[in-house]
Amino acid sequence: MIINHPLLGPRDAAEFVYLGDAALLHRPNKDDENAAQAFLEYQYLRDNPAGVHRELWYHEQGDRSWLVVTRNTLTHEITDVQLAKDVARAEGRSR
Amino acid sequence: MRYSAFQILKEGITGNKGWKPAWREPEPKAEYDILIVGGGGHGLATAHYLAKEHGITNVAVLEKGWLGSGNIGRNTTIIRSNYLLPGNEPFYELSLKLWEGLEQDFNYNAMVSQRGILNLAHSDAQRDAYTRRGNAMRMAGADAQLLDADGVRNMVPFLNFDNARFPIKAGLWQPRGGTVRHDAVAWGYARGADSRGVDIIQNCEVTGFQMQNGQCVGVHSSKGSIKAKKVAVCVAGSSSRVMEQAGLRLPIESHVLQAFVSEGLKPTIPGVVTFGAGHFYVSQSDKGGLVFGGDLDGYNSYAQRGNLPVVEDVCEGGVALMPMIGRARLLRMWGGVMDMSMDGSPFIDKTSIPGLYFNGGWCYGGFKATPASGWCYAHLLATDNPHPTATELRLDRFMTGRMIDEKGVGAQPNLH
Amino acid sequence: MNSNELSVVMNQVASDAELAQTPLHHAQLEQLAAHTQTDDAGILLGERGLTGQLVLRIRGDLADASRAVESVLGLSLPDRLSFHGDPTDANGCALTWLSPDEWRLCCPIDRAFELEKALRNELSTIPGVTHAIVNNSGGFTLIDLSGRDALNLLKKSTGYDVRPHRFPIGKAVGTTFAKTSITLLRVGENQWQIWARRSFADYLWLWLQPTSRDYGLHILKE
Repeated sequence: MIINHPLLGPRDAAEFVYLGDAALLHRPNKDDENAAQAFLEYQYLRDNPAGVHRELWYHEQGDRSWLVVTRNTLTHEITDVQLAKDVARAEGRSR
Repeated sequence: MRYSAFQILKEGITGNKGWKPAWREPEPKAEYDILIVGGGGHGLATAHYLAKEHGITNVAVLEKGWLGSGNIGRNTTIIRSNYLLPGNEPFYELSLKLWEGLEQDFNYNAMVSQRGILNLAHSDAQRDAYTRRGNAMRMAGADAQLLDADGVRNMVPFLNFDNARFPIKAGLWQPRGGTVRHDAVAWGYARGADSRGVDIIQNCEVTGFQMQNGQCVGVHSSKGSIKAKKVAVCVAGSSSRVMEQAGLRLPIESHVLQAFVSEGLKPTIPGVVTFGAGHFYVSQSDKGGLVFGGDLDGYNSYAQRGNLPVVEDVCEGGVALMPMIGRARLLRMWGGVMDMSMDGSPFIDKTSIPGLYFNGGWCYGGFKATPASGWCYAHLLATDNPHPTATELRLDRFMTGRMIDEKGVGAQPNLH
Repeated sequence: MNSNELSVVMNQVASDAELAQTPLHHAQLEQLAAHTQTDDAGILLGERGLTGQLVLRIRGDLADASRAVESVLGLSLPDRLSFHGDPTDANGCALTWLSPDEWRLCCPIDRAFELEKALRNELSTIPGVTHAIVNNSGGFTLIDLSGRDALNLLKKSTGYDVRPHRFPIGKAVGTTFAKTSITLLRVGENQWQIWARRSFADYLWLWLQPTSRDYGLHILKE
């Protein structure tokens, strides 16, 4: 698989480390009333779709950036790559 | 028809005209006592033991494809019970005992070959860990022997013992481990279940669950709606996809694992050898091909095929362990989709929906578990109580903190 | 109190009295060179002597920061996937982009302390720019690679697209090389520089030797 890094161009997937579903960006608030249940779901439960999946990849052998990659788990086709920083920023959650 | 040497002789003399198909191809009835979703090894084993051990025969197995089309037909055929933790080891030892009597049990030649399995240790710490594991195995009634470096050398002299990074210091040897002809397991269980009246329905995809007052009362399928008192899902690899139709999210990710077969070589490797430090394990098939595999590709996938970096990694591990295979050619390779559970251990449990049961999360250790999985799932379905060896394989263990996070059962997605 | 007073900067480079060696010193390259000498070698390899290495991290207005850096080094901050300066000049400086807020300066080792102090001074005077400088000298070893088959050797070793039209002179890329990670710089038509971690230098060397065998290997002396 080739991941088209937004800053660095096409890179072999072997340069990256995979973390999983990009929902992991949305860590629950520990002070919420239902925090225990929210953290259980955050930590252990997955949508695990067959098809389009947004997921986190870390460019360990490159510029050490986190990416949000949109990839089809049935075909491995990658349709979109963004810096995780930009994704979080767009949600108003980062500098 | 009972298979025997006499039967072969008789059929041989009479022109082999008396053989019958090993199972029927029935149309689904309107209602069953138990519907098993998924006609893989585990589903068929469940049906077989429901009929044979519990006398429940008004059962159907629904299979999307054909028998043997999933992971039961695309694995590396290893059986073993070399686990450590109390939630696992008695279960896998039950499985190994069932393997030992399997061919007599379902009257089918599954080529169960107890040629032994050897885990290699490369440091004092790892040898100590294997000592502990071996003791845990023996306490659960399994067999285990700790070999020193000379013991390993006597058994498999062709390994690279003096690798600078991973010198071979010891080995944990389980003589009763080995290999089994994988798709014969599916066929044998299918035949066993069918002969007792279970309907095995192929090319029948489940498209949804019938719900009534919050209870599961059947399924919708490509062959129409079928009612059932109990619905037992058993579709490892596709668990999330199927259970999503019931509105359940699972502690599972689907990952792809690749396996490989080399060209046929002279008999060389006596049993199964695992080189965990190098992400490589190997056995030799009866036809002579080296059957080997390694790590997951490491990302969510339903594609049943992997990518080249892992092919390279597995082959490097193999050549590091056994330099002599450097010139062997790969004959074929394939990928299977694994239910990777969040702690590396499986589930055999009721769900939060009455009437709906779940079996899955086998990571890449499902094949060896086939008989015990069927045995325990059948027990759960028949009695509504978990089998004593499967009491820990619960869906709610992440909530209660009773994870079974055994190292060496496979890679967990949270570590990738 | 400005940020400069908060930081304690010391000279981390050993004095001449101490014996400091490159990571591949023990490989006795000169002796190896005698063994591997061929008249018509396709691959020329050599390890650079000890190099001063400073990692610069800068956030804020990069145009201002770049002017400050240029006033010290004579080199502005390079944009992504590139370097400024001549990495082959043992007496000069070269500045390489590593990530959006990170650069590595390679300089003569006896100038590392002086340049670190000067860069800190200049950068701390710019409003709105924050910076950090770490002396990383000795963390990496620099391997010069040239020869008519240099490209073939790279193609065998890395998954990155090193074909000349995709990898022009002046480009610098962090990528995988065999089982380790490197920074790869194209410094001339057939000239490359490989930066490898000190702890992986042996591994890299043991990879490079057999991989070069098909083309003939000649080892360069400093």
